[in-house]
Amino acid sequence: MVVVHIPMQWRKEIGVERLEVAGATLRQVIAALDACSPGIADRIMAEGRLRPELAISINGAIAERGLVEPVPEGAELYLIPAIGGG
Amino acid sequence: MTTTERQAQPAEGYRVVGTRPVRPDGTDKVTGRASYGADIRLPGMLFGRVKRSPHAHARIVRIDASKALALDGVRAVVTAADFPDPGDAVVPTIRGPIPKQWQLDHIIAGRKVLFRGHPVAAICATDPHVAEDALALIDVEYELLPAVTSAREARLPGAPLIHDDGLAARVPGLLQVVDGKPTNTSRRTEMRVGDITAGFAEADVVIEREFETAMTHQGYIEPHAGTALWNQDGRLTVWTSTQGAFGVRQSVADLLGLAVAKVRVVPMEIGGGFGGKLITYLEPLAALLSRKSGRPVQITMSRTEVFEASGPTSATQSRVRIGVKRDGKIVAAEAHLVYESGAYPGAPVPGGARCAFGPYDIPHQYVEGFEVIVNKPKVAAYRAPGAPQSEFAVECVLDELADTLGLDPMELRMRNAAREGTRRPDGAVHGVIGNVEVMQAMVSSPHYQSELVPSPDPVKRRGRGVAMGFWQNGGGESSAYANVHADGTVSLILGSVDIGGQRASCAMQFAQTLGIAYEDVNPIVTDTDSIGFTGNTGGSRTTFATGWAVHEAALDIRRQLEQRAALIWEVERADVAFSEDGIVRGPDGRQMTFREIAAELPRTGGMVQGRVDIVPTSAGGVVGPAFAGHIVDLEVDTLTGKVEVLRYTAVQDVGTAVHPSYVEGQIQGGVAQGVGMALNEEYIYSDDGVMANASFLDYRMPVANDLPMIDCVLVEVPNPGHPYGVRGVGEVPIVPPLAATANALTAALGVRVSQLPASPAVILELISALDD
Repeated sequence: MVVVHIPMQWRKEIGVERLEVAGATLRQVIAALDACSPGIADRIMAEGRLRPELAISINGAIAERGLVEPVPEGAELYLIPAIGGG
Repeated sequence: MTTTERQAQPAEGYRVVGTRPVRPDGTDKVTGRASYGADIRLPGMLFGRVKRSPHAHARIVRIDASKALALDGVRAVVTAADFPDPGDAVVPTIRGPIPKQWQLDHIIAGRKVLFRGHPVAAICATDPHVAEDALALIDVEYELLPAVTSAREARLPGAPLIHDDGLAARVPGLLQVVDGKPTNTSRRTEMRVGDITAGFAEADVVIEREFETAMTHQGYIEPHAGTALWNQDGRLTVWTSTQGAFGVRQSVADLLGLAVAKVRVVPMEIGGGFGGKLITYLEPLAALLSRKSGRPVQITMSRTEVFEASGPTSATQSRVRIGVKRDGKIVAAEAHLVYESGAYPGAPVPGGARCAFGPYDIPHQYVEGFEVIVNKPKVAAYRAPGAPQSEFAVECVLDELADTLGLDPMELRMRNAAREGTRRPDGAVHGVIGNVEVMQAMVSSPHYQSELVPSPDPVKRRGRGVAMGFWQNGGGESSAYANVHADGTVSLILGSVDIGGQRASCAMQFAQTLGIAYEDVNPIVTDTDSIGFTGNTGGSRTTFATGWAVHEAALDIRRQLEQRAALIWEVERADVAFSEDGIVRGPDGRQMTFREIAAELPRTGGMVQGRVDIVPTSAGGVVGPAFAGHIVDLEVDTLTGKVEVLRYTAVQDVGTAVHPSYVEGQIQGGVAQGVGMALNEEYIYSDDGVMANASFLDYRMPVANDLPMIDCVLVEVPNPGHPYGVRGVGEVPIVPPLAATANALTAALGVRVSQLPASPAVILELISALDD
């Protein structure tokens, strides 16, 4: 199982601060999240890809392989705004 | 300005990394031979100019270019109507989805103009003066609308709605809705760690303050310039000054409805960017003018156009509250951020939110931020976008807390320093970082250990300030190709534009891995058809990510040369090894230098190319965040309000300083820009939205004789997530100067400086209020 922390802005509608789901890749984790909270996948993905304005931190490191990013068992995921540098 | 020389020797364990070789672009730049954006000349090239709105907010009633087109020498005019209709499309961006129509509107307005300088038409002619004259002949009829040029005005009930086209309704959250109606307030960002209410309940002392910063410009010395040739076969070539050729390619292809493979972007030398050259402004206009005229077209901006119509950084308002225990332990901190976006969404609120409390380990944190749309140019990235403003507010409150608690300001910071394992408000956990080491180096520096002597002149007051800064840095995709030549030299082909020494830093990492001399590597920045995708040169990512790519390219060559040596020696591949010293060794004492085996390549199967396209973090890399701490002494003339910076020391964890001179240059540049933001720089607008100081004469950036020696102290805590310990160094040095300068001014004047720039007028007002 992995723990996914729900962004502050979504918590009111989703009703929880974190969800615990199973999944070995981001694609599987998002599918599992959507099963728990229907519609959440649309907040994370658009046109079958991760939304560019979102970054996903897996155990403290930003994932850069999109939906195929491996997610280790017991990982902690944060969905955070992406940041562009200068 | 000068710098403290750290070392002339390579970094420990390295032969090339850590030395200070001559930069590969140096000769061309000092002799004037380097070709920047406006330097390209093509046969038959026409000169374009952009017709811009004189109004900050108006409806376009009619555009009539017939008189301009009739002028001898004028070849074509384009307006928004010449672009493919974006329809209802919504496009994803790193700042969130926006209507594609707004992307086009930003390039050239069709319905409304939203800021002074907003393009409404573009024209090209055989001569730049004819083009200039023709602009005056384009007749544009406007219906004036009330303008709002500050977030405060824009958020008032009843403020004129800037985006009234209804398109925002397609993107939830793009505009905040009040009583069922959209407003000028755009996206909201919120982050939380712990329980902020419980945290403040634990605090013995709580201080809350409000702060403001002005809209400022990156001030790159080279104005934007774009040249395009739309060939009759449908292929488009663009020559431009940009931080990201691949980003320009995508943007141009999207706006013009072209296949990416039909567009080639050639990056020219770049005269500064600092984030401001990540955006496309002129290239789509030049492209359409080229298609219409059948000739190459070049458009350049004047300095006034750069100020009025490119992308400065946000003016901001911040409210920060921090609670501490009597022993100086911070228990709770919250920040409310309001950043102006300019005419379209995209203010760097997420950056400000993620970095606000970055240098500290605080159990309970809350950050809320809003972007606000105003009738000013759309903001762009500017060096650590969003962080200088939010950290300015936080560092000022920390200074006041230290004073209240009777603690040395560095002692308070060190008691709360983030370190390995500290969780940031965005959920990420710090790995190996040099934050504590930076603080220790600040405290032990000769500057901090020295006494600040009062001015002998009674009208002048002196003060010292400190501040920390944090920026997370970036990763992303980079490509590198390396062609080995028979004489033992290598052409290193890069997709990363060189804006701050990346050719040198990449060539050095490549030479280090391949065991050859830096001088034997010729680094070349190439066009988008000649190398794999490479992300922007921005986000302090290039020496990290492209540096990783060249390291991998060198490893690729090593593997191929091992195979070739095995072939030549007729031995097993497993018995051959390429060593760090650049020598290939085989069984029975056989060995060849890199140069010797390179000479054999043409007759043993052909030349060798190392080739890599990589996302370093997907290969096990970790982006190393950056920390900086600055100390500044300054003197205020209480009669004139003028501030003189007397002494400045910038300490920074730089990971491994690949080329220390470049690192010091980045730090000094960041300090200069940050001091400018703190003391002088600001967009000054009239009530009707006209910028009153759109020239370098009136927009006061610091120049060399405004600043003292900036001492750089390079703290090297290597990033374990990179082969050479690299951390990005380019952005974080702009973060601390705002707060360090404000804290020094506060110490000098005895009154909190909370509004930047602290220009002479602001200082005199503060002194006057104090005297009253």
